[in-house]
Amino acid sequence: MLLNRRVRAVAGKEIKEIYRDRLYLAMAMVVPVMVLILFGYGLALDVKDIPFGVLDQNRSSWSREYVDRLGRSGYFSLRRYFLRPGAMDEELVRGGIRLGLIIPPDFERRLGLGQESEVQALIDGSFPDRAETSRSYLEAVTEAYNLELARRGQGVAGRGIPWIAVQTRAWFNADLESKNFIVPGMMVTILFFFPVLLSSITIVREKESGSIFNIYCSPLRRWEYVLGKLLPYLGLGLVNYVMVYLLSYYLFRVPFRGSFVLLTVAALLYVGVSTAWGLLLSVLLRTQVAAMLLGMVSSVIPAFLYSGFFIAVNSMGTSGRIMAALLPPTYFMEMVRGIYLKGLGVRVYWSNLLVLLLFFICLMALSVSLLRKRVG
Amino acid sequence: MFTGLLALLRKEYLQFFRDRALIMVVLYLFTVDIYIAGTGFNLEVRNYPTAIYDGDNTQISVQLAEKFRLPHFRVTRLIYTDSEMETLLNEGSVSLVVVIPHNFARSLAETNHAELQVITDGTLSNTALLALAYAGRIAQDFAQELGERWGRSEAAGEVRPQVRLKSRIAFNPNRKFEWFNSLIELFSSITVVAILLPAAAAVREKEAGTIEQLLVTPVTPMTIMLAKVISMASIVLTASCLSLFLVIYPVFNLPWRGNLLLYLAATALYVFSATGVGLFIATVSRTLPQTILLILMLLTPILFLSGSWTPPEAMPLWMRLITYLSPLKSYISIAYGILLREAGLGHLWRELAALGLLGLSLFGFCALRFRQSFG
Repeated sequence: MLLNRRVRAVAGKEIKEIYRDRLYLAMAMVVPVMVLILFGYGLALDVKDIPFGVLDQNRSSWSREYVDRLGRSGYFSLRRYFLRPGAMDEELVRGGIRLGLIIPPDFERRLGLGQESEVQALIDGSFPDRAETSRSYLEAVTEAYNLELARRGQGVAGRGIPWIAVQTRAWFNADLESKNFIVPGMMVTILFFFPVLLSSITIVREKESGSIFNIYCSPLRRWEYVLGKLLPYLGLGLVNYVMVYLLSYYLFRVPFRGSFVLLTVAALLYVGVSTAWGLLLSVLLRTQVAAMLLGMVSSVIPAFLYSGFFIAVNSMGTSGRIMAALLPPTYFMEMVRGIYLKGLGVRVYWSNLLVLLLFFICLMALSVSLLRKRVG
Repeated sequence: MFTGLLALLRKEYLQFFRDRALIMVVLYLFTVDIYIAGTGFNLEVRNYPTAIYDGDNTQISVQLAEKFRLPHFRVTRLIYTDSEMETLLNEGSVSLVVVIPHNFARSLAETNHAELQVITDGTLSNTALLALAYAGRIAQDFAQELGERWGRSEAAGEVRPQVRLKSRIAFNPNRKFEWFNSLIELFSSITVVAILLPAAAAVREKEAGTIEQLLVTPVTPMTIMLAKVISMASIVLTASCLSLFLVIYPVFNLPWRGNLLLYLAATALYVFSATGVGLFIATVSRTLPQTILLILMLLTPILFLSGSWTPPEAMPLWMRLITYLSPLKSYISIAYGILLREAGLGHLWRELAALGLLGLSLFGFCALRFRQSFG
C-alpha cells in the first residue's frame, strides 16, 4: 500500500541519480567515517598539559621542586621561565601560556621557617571553563604539596584541621574517558547533519532546474513524491549508522552494554526524522543555497551545542533548554548514551522513541501539506 | 579590469539580496543565534542533579549535606538504599550521589579523619570531572569550618609550612560565559557563511552553466574570485558589526577593550582565507551534493576542533598538526587576543601571517585550476 508503484518509481529515480554520481556515493560513505575519526581523536576534552610559565624570584631548590610537581602532574606543561613580570604578562596576552606563576623571593626561607608563602597564579580567563579547571587542578597539586611539606616538617599533622578524604567513583565510565561519550555522541550528530543536508537540496534542486514541472503534471500524489524522496536517504543514513557503530566498537573500543536491536530501531526512526527535516526545508525554500545554509544552521551547530553532546542539558539556561527540547538529537542522545554505557532498555526509553516518532510524523505531514503541486 | 570587477560585484550583491530566505537566515545567524548561544549554556556545572545518601544522619552529616547547594548542585532526592541509588543513576534523574557513611561524625570527632564517597554518572566525563572537583572543594571547606568551630585550627596547633595559592583570573575575572559563548558563536557564524555561501554559489553557477558565460567575457578568473571575496567580506563584516553592536556589547556587556579597527581588519583577512576554503571546495567538486559532503567534511572539524571547544594540548600530535590548516584556529587566537586581552599587532603578527598565507595559497590553487574546473 505504502510502497506502491509510484513511490518506488520516485525512489528508483533518486537512487539511480545517486548511484550514477559514483564520486558522490563513495563520499557519502567515506566522509561520515572521516568526520567520526577526526572527532574521535581530536575532540579530547580532557584538560591536560596546560601551557604555563613561571616567574621564579626565589630560584631555590624548593621553588624548583614546586614547579616540578606541577609539570609532573600531567595537567600542566612548563613552557619557560621568565625573568621579569612584564615578559610573562606579554606571553599571557599573546596566548602562548595560559597560566603564569609568580614565586616570591622569600619562598624557601618562609617555608623553611614553617611559615606560609604566597604564590600568585595568573590564569587566562578567555576560555572560562579551562580557567576553572586549571584553577582546581592547581589547587589540588598545591594541596598535595602542602600535605607533603607538613609530613616532612613534623611527622603527621597532629590534631590540626580535620581531614575529610573524598573517595570519588564514576559509574558507567570509570576512567572518565572522554572518547566513551564523544564517539556515541558523534553517532547522534553525524546521523543528524548528514541526512539533513543531503536531503535539504533534493526538492529545491528540482525547483531550480525546472524538472519539478514533470512532477506537477504527473499523476503522482504529494505524499508519494515526498516518501519516494525520503527512502533513498533513509537507506544511506542506515549504512552510515552501521559504519559508525562498527567503528565505535572495533576502532574506538567504546563499551557497548545494551541491545543492538533497540539501538537500530531508534537509529532508523532518528534518521527518518533527520531526513524529513531536510525534506521540509527543501519544500519550504526556493534556492539550493538558502536550503543548504538553513540546513547547516539548523543541524550542525545546534546538534553539537544543545543536544547534550558535551554540555549537560540540565546546566543550560532557559533558552538552551528550549533549544534542547525542540531538537530531535537531544532525545536520541539520551538513548544512545544510555544504551552504550548503561545498558538500559526499552522500559526506560519508550518515551524517547515516542517523541522521535511524533517528530517524524509531524515533519512528514508538514512537508506533504506544504508541497505545492502547481506553479508559483 | 576595474569595470569588470564592479559589474561582477553588482551581480553578487543582487544575487544575495534577492534571496529573502537567505538574508533572513544570515540575520538570524548573526543576532538571535548569538543571543541564544550567549544565554543558552555554559560549560560550568550548574544545577547538577544530586542525591544525598546520608547513612550517618547526625547533625554534622546534615550540615555537610546542606553544603551541596545551588548554583552548582541541585539536591533533588534524599535516598536510603543502594538500590535506590542505582535506579536513580541509571535513569539519569540524578548525576551525583553523595554517600555519607555511617559513623562519619564520630570518626571525625575521634580520629580527626573521615571518609566521604562521591559517585557520579561518568557518561559526560568533562562535566563529571568538574562536579567531582567542586565536591572535593566543598568537603575541604567544610573540614576547615569544623576545625575553626572545634578550635582545631593551625593557630591552636603548631605552625606548619604552607604554600598559599592566590589565583587571579585575568581578562575575564568573573569567568563570564556569555562573553566566551557569544564570541565563539559569532566566529562560527562568520565561518559558516564565509565558507558555505561562496562554495554553494560557485558550484551552482557551474551546474547551471552560467560560469561559462562569464569565462567568455573579458574578465579574468582572478576578477571573478575577487568579486566573490569582496562581496562576501563586506556582507560578513556588516553582519559582524551588527552582532557586536546590537548583541554582544550591549546585551552581554563585553568590555570595550582592544582595537576594534584591528579586529575588523583581521576579520576581513579571515573572511578572505575562509572564502578561499569555500572556493577550494567549489573547485574540487562538480555537483552540489558533492559540495555538501566536502563542506561537512571540512567545516565541522574547523568549527569544533580549532581550539574553541577543545584545548589543543589534549589532542594527539598528528591531530594538532592538522589543526594548523584550519583558518579558524589562527582567527580565534587573534580575535580573543584583540577583544579580551587587548593584544596588538606586535603580539599577533604570526597568526595574521598564517591566515594570509593560507588564504593566498588557497587562492593560488583555485586560480590555477579555475579554467579546468569551471570551463
